[in-house]
Amino acid sequence: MEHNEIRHRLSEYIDGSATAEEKKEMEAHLRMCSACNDAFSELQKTIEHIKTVEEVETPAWMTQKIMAKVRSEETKKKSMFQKRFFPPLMKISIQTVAVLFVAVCAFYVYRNIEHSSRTGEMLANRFSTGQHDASPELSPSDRAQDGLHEKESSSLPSQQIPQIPAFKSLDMKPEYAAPSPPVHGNEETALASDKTKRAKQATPGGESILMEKIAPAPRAEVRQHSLALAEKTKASAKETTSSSSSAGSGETEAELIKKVGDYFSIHDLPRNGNGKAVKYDVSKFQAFPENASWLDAGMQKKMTSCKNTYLVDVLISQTQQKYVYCADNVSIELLFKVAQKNGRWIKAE
Amino acid sequence: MSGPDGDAALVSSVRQGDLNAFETLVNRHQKRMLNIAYRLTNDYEEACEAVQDAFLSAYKNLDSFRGESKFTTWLTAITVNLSKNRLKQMRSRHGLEAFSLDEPVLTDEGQMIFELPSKEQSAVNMLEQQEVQQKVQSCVKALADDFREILVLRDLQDFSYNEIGSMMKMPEGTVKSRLFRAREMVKDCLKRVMGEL
Repeated sequence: MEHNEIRHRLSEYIDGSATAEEKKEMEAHLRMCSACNDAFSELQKTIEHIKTVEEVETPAWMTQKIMAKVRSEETKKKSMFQKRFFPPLMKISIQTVAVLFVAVCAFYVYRNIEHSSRTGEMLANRFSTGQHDASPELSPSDRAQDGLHEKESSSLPSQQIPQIPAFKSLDMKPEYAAPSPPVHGNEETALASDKTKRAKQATPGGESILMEKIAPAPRAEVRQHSLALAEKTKASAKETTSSSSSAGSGETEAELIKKVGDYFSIHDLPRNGNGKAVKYDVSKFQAFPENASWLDAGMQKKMTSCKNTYLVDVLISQTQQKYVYCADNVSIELLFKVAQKNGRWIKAE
Repeated sequence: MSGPDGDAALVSSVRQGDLNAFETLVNRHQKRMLNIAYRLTNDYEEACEAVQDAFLSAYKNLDSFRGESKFTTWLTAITVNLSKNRLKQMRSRHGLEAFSLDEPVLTDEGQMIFELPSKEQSAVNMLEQQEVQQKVQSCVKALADDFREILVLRDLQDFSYNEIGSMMKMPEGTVKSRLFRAREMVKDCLKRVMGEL
């Protein structure tokens, strides 16, 4: 080893970290080289001097001060734990309840607003333009389209049913009537069977719909019933009855109700302990066939072939109107509409 | 792996919430940590603060101590870092330059050559009048931080090269090299202030 290397390794040699071989080699060199030996002695003395440096003592308060800080930290940790878990739990529950409450309120408010606006627009359009009666005849293509639409709606009822008449309420009372043969008649159509009785609960000044199930009837007869029904409805709006069986179809009330269950929900008729009304579910109602007319042979056929025909009384801004729907368990469609004119129920213009 | 001194058991107890165990650790190591901090900061009060901070930091971060090294090694590393931070703060607070010797230059012949800055000359003269102990302390104090740290840890606290390397996060070779240079610098400093060793 050269002088430089020896001197660099002196430090390690003194610390005893040199290998045995290095140690041997260095000791041999130090015996031969006085300069390196002097450097070794000086370094050894320097280290001895350094090691004599006295230690400072810790202040008496040191332990207490450290432990006070540690305990303070521990307390902080615990309080942070409590803040993190316990109070937030309470906060979360309160906040969750509040948020849910606001969300539910907002949902209902939004829904009401939406329905109101839609009702306003649609009814205004319908009744101001007389659109549904403006095309009394269904063209073959329209009928084909209508049929297609029915099929489509049968397969996808919920998706294809627009929310059309957003009436505030629509009550429907199922009734049971013996099936009648198909009817053909003139323009002023009957709307009800002999057995049909209605119940109506219109909100004063508001909009309400009462739907009654009517049996298919001969056209002339239907017309008479319709007119009579209209008068009767006007006179005895509160009267509600329902039959307990479906004589013609053999279906029970429950079954009939179940059939239209997708579109109507059952509820007790107001002030009527005897019957059941079916509430119209706007969201599931099928589009009105705007161009349908009971005058049309096709519509007549539709009506007479319809087992579950419903008469819907609508009170819009104090104006009574009626719609005839055919509904089964997969679809519901408007057959025609009548309105009160000069005290008589006639086809709406 | 905290050695036979029982630090590992105490650390384990502290982890389970035993503050008395931590107090035992404080009592066991505070003097050593204070001396390290004092030799690094050259200020007793600052050293006391650094040691308090070091123990508090150790307590807060005990989960990060995996027991791969001795507890003292881990604690010393914390103390050294906090002491260095305090030293920086002190210097920036007082706007003072470190009292350090110029970086020595190694000649081809292996001679360490360095010259004290002229402003330190008066300090050297002053050292001549003091006791050897004080002179040695002053020479150690005059070292650059990087060299002083290694010298303090090795010659004053008897940590091994490996432990110092672990604390300072440097290879063992660098530790040896720095220690050699630090000792040479102190030797030359002492020769100057004492005339002979």
